[in-house]
Amino acid sequence: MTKREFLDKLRLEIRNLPYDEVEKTITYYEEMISDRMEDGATEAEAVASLGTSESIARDLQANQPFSAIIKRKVNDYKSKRSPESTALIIVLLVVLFPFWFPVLMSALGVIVSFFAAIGAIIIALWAISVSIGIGGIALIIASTFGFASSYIPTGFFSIGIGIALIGLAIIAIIGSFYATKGIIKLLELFIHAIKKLFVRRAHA
Amino acid sequence: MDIQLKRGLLEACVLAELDKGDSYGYQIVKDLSGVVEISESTLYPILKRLEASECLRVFSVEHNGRLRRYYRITETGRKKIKEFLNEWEEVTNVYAFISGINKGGQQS
Repeated sequence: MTKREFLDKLRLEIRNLPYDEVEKTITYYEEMISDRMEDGATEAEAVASLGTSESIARDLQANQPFSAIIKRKVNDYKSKRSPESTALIIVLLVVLFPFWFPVLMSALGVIVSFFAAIGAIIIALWAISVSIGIGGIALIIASTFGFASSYIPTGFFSIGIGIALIGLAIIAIIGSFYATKGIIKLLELFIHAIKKLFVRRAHA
Repeated sequence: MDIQLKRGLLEACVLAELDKGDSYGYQIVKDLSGVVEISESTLYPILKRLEASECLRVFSVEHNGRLRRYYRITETGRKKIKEFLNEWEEVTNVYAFISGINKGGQQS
């Protein structure tokens, strides 16, 4: 591929980024190709070393904030529609309000409950871990009553179980800590995947 | 390597390179490729971020009948290098601690 072909293709892929962003990117890659060629590479080699224009465009798009991606989608949509069809859409939105409103609300509900469920899992993990620990402490305190009322074996039994429970609680708390971190990391990956989905659909 | 960690390392590498003198994109990639894995496409967002945070300034110089964009480090950029080095003093302490524990674990 020649330098011109590559840059034209790249420009097409990132056309929906802000204007000065497009110009800056093209200038940058143009300079990179020229510098590589001056360093002894052929034009084709210099272009090939940069990777595909698709992957460059995808990375640039995914690095945009979520709000910018949505805004661009809306603008894309607006620029494709004539004023008449926009008016028609508004009328339809109003008339069909009883139909789409419940759907929208339930979609929002699903999203909220999704995050609530994940939050609940995290809270539950910590609650279980901490309550095991509290149970252990309570048993150790309770064992003093065993000793006081001269049921010595019961006292030792309670202390033993209490210490075991505290040990279990420490392990569970460490486990909860890593589980929380893991869940948050998964959520980040998930949100990033959704962002990529939006970006990819722009190219479809 | 963790993405956030790599990004921070690359930013510091670019600033350190510019601290030696003004440079341009391809030269930066060439000089750093011996130290850390970097390509033109990974360098681009880093330069953008450093410019946005005013760690470097961009200016154009004519070269062989075309314009080449040069990057110059600012005071903020130099401060950033110092911050990075201070932070990594902490990290190396933690590293020593962690690897010490691991050795203890292997002996037992």
